[in-house]
This record gives sequence, structure tokens and C-alpha cells, in this order.
Amino acid sequence: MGTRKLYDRVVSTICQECTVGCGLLAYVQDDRIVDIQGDEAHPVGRGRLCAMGTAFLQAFDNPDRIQAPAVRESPQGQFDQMEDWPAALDALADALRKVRERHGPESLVIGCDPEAGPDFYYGAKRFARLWGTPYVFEPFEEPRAPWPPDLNAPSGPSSDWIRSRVLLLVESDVASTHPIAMSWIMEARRRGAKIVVADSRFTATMSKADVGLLIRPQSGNRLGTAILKMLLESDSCRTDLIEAGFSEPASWRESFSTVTLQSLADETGLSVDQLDELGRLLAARRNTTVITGKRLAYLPHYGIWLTLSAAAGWVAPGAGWYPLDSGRPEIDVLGDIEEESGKILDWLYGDHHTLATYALEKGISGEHPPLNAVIASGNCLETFLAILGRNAPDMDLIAHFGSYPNGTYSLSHMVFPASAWAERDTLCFNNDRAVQWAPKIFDPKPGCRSGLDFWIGLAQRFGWEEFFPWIGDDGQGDRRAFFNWLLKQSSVTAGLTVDQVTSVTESHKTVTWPSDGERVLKPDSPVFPTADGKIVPQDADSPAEPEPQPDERFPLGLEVSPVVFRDRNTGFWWPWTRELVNDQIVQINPITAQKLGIENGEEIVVEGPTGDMQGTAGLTRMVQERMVAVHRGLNGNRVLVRKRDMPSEEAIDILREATT
Amino acid sequence: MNAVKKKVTKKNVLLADSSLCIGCFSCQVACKLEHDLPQGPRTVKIIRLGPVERNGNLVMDYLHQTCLHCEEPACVYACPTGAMQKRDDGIVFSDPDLCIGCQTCAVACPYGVPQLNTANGKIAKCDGCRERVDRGLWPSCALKCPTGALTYGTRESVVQDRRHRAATIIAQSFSKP
Repeated sequence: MGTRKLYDRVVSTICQECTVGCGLLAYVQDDRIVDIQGDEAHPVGRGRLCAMGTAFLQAFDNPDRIQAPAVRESPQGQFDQMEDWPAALDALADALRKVRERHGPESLVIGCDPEAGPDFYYGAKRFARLWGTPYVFEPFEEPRAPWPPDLNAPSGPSSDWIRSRVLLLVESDVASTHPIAMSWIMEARRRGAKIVVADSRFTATMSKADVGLLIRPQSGNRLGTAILKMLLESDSCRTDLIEAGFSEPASWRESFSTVTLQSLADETGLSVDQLDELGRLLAARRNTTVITGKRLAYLPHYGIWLTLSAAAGWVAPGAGWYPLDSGRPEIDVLGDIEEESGKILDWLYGDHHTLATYALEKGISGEHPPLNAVIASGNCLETFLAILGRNAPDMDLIAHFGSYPNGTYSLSHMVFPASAWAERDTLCFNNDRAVQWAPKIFDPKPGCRSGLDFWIGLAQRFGWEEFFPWIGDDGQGDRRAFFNWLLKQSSVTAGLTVDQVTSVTESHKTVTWPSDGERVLKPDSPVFPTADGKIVPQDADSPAEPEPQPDERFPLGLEVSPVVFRDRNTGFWWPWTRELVNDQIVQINPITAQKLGIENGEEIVVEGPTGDMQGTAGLTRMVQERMVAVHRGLNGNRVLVRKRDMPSEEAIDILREATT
Repeated sequence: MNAVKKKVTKKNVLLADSSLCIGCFSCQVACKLEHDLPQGPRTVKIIRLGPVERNGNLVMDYLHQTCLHCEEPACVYACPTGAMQKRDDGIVFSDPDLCIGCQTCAVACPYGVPQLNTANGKIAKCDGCRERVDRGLWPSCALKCPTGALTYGTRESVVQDRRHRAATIIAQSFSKP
């Protein structure tokens, strides 16, 4: 640790590029960061820092950052800078009123990019409830959904992984998305744990595994069902836990007799032998941690992971279910706002992509009010709300709250410059259930405001000040007051204050929720610490179609794998990482490519149900023959790939012949 | 010419353990920050090998590539201005004050290590973080490596460290049922 560079001060804070929450030291001279390093005393990062944690300063320092609010008549026009924030917020409030008059409150969507911070997200939820729209989208909403809110998180911190005997990673490429968390997996392996990785791609994480299982795309949750079936059949489950802690244990058990191992093998694309071997390994080594990727949360049967870890008795330190990106507790930020009946729709929760598509289609068909306005933070209209981005030209109002002139910016009518995470004091909810206080490195650049400031300002223009009371002496958002309030809104953090969290973070430790320590699963108790001592387990369910029918029009599976270093659009502000991964690459298996006459590096077309994209063919055996993988630009599960000059029908015929 | 062939007495080395590398590029970006490099020159390179089939299984490795700080560095012999130098501790580096960006060293190097930094017209290559190691600090790439795939120290200490790790793994295999 240490730097050779000259500096005036060192700021110790928490990196907010992903959810791991590594300690970061910023060496600052004359309001410029001259060096960034991991904090060796920090319990999560232990002095290590990944490429994202180093590279963020390029975007932060970028001269093209948006620094003044601006407005224009149409997305084709030129932006006119607004005088100041109050004038811009007045204009936004007027525009929103017009949209409401014309199309009703449910025509408003709010997209919360994690880049905008937790205060933007929670502020958006409150504003949306007051406004009367159910559409607040944020990518971290679902991962821990099956776990009852009054129960402690499913497993311990990632530092506990080193006590596991088996680490089973399902559709989670930790090495690429959370490199510092991967260091704990490597450490566990060094200590003798078996690493089992199941994924539809041969990922960086799989390259370090003892057992690698290439499964069908979107079949990860069914692997969980198969494992549980095998453990039940080999009497390797905790019968006492099942009998005392599961509601309706008999019918739940019965559901597993409706599926055969062979059918689950078919669904997952594995052989029965492979499954048997995995079953034997897990039965023999009891302390298992299952680490699941966020994608699984949007697929059916996601509840199987909670059920599996509970039934198998994986509840000791070093055992359990660890859904990635699930460190945030359930926080009820709407308790004090009266719900307008009929405004909160019952299809509020679920896959935000499916939901946005659904809402959009219903709006177009006239069943629901059409979506006509978006408050879009970060680059959400190009990433998790890409489906709305494609429809943006037909909308009345797109307001962008962001730091960079990216794709979302280019679709917008109004722009509000956002402060970067290094410019705001923030309470971080990290993997590990850790609650940490991250002090800002600098004051915000002139003209840039936080998400909290944005919502306070907007709420004031609708007379909702009482619901956004966290205002400091300077008239801006009082972040400590806001986060103190936020901690109180969750039963598992209610005992904490920002002051406590700050002092613990400063002493290089982490506070984990639940702060009262009462709702912890106890290895020796067959009863769950929920209200009735029980949980609702996931049934095995026979699949709707025993043999998933190949889609004629779109014969190949699609995986949209995360771009570690952000996509091209955002990556433009990070030249250091942009050069490392080409996000225009369409990964395609060499055998599939050969059939279609596609060569490495060739420009090709990928057709999907929601649209097409062009990309560069990257021939690699990281993907299986039956699928392709892209980093961005498409949604959905099935695609067709073809040479640019090949008619779609010809490509379909070739692939059909190949599969029959 | 013989002046280049120095007897290196206290050489420190950077050990790259491919079995631990996860291809996260942390080292590459760490180097960019340390040396204020623009997009383009890659003084540390992680090259993905595979996946290829080996004994019926797919395998994939990451290869770490940087300057080898040769015993007899061709780049130093080739440099017309004396910018490229070899220190007593074995570090081969290019002095930007003397470098004219002619890239003769890039042609001379059998491994293609020296590259042009287009931002300042000078050669960019691993300088062993000489200014850091002179202060007793680890090179930036090794410091930030998430998994400890890169370690730094004397030849004896890094080898000893690997031996220790391997011995621990063997010992653990005996200690567990």
C-alpha cells in the first residue's frame, strides 16, 4: 500500500462500481485524484481493487461530463442550457403536469440506474407513489425476492465462503462481474473446497472450477430442482427442518415424484450421470454454499434455491444460499404515503424487462394508459430499459438524470446533471449484507446534484415537501438525515444510525443486518425465525413442455452476458476499460459459425423477437452450439444469426437441418 | 556494449501464477493509472487462451504478458539515444526525457513489448514500477491483483511462497477425511 505520487490528502471510502463494497483509498492533490488503491485494512477487499475500481476516475474527470441542466423541443434538436436547477425543475414539473393531463399518471415510468445511487431509487419510489404510477424499475429489486422479509438473509458474508466444502455457482460469472468476491472463492479452493460451476457459457469462473457443467440457457433453476430431488432420494436432507419448517411438507415432497431425473437432465442439457455425480458430491460434503446469478431471479422456479438450502440444512457459517447483488434489505419507504386505490397494480413486481414490455404493449393496445414519459437515470434506456428506449421517439417527455452524454441522453428532451458517486456521501448496502458509509471524495462539480436533491426539488413543485423533509442548511438534501430515516424503514436495520455505521466503517469493520441479531437461522433449530416458524417451499413442478420446442423463427438461444466494464456508450468515458472488451462482439460457437459460413471478425446480423442488431462475430467455444451470447443491444431468449447478405429463411433452414 | 550486461545482484521478480489468474484485467488498468497511459499501449497484457478441449474437457487459461526485463535486452542495445536503460536491479526502462519515440526498441524486442504512447510520442513499456519499488512499494499491478496471481519479491521469496502454498494444499488433503 502507498503511492509514489505527491498528494495532499487521502480519502478512505467505499467503491460503488458494483455491489461488493471494497474499501478504496483515493490520493488527492489539488482536487484531482492522483492515485487509487484498495484499502488493505478493509475486510472485504483486503487491499485488492479490480479494473472498475481503478478506472472510474476517467469518467469522473471527463471533460464531457454534463454540468448544466438543459432542455430542447425534440430529441433531434439542440440543447439550450437552462439558467439553473430551479428553472429546470420548474420546466420539468410543467411538462409532467401536461403529460398527466393528457395521458394520466400511469403514463410515467422512472428508470433507476444504480449509477444514480440509492437515494435516487428510494426517492423515485416515493415520488411515484405520490404521483400515482407503479412503474419504478431498478435492476437490484428481485434477487432475494423468495426470502421472507422478516427473515435474515439466506447466508453469511462472502468471507464465510472459505469455510465451505463446496461452492456451487449457478449462472454467476463472479470472476468477471465481481472480481474481488472471486478472490474469496479462490481462497476457499486453496483451503480445499470443491468449486462447481454451472453456466450456459464457459465463463472465466468456470475456467477455475473443479467441476464445470455446461447447461442449457435459462435452465439454472431446474438444476436446483434436480439437486434437491437427488438429495431427497439419497436421504441427505434435514428431515426435521422440512417437517417443522416447511408449510405443507407432504405435498411438497410429493411434487418431486412427478418429475424424473431424466426429464430434469433433458431440461438442463446435462446427462443423468453428470447429475448423479454432482448429487453424490453434494451429499458427501455437507457444507455447501450456492451462489446464484441475478438472471435466475427472473426465471420460473427461482424459489428452489431457498428451498434447497433450507431442506439440505445448509444453514451453518460457510453454507447456505447466496444470491449475488442481494445485500440490500427489504426497506419499506412508502409506509407513510397513502395509496390511491387502483393505482398500485398487482403486476408490480417481477422481471422489469418483461414488465416494461407488458406495460408498453398494453398501453399500445389501449388496455392500460400508454407510457408517455420517462424519467431516466444513468443509461437505463440503453440497458435494462432498452425496450423503452426503442419506443422513446414516440413519447412526449424523456428527462435524463445522468452524468454523461450517453444514449439515454441522446433520446431525451431534458437533462439534469447528476453528481458521481465519488461526489456524494452515501450509505451502501453491499453483498455480505454489509451496511457501510462511503464519504465523498470531492464536492459535486458545479451544476451537478444528487438524486435526493432532484426528488426534493421536484416534490416541492407539487406541494409534497412533507414527504421529502430532509433538507440541510444549504437548502440541498441532507444526506445523513435521509439515510438515518432510511435505516429506520426496515425492520432489519432499524437499530442502526448513520453515526454508528460511520464509526464502524472507519474502524475497518462492517455492520451487517439484521442489526438486532435475532433473525438468524440457527443450525440446531428446525424452526425458521419467521412469524409462523415456516417458509413456503418451491415445488418441483413438472415442466409445461417436457421437451422445450425449438423456436422455428429464432432457433438459437441468446445469452446477454454483462459487460464488466460497462457498455460502449458508458465505456466511452472509460477509455482504459473500453479497450479491454469489445462489446460489439457476438460470441458464436465455431461449429455453428461454420454451418452459417460466418468467419471470425465478420460483421453479422442477430435477429430477435424485439428487434435486430449488428455485431462482430467472435468465434469461441465459450458458447455452446445451440446459442449465441451478446453483451448488449438485445433482449429476449431466442435469436437468429446470419451473415449480412444471407436471407433469414436460408439461415433458419441451415440451423433447422443442423438440429434435426 | 558490455556496459549493458550488468551483473544483477539484488533482482526482484514479478511472479505470475496462471492458475490463479481470472482474466479481470485489474493489472492492466492499474498500470494505466500508475503511468498515466492513454487508450492504446498495453504494457501488461492478459491473453485468453481457449476454451480448448483437453482430455475431453474444455479448459481455458489466462496468460500474463509483460516485459521480461531481459538479461541482455535487445531494446537497450538498439536505442539510439540511450533512453532505454537497464538498472543495477535488473529493471529495463525507458527514460522519457531521452526518448525520441523512434520505436527502434519496438523493432528490436523479440517479444513486441515496447509500444508507442500516442499521447506524448514516447515509448511506453513496463518500467518495473521503478519509482514505487525505490520507495519499498510493490508494483501497482501486483498490488491490485484480486486473487494474488501476481506476486512480487526476491526470487527466493516468491518461490518460497509458492512452495508454501503447494505444501499447505498437500497437508490439507491429509488432514481431512
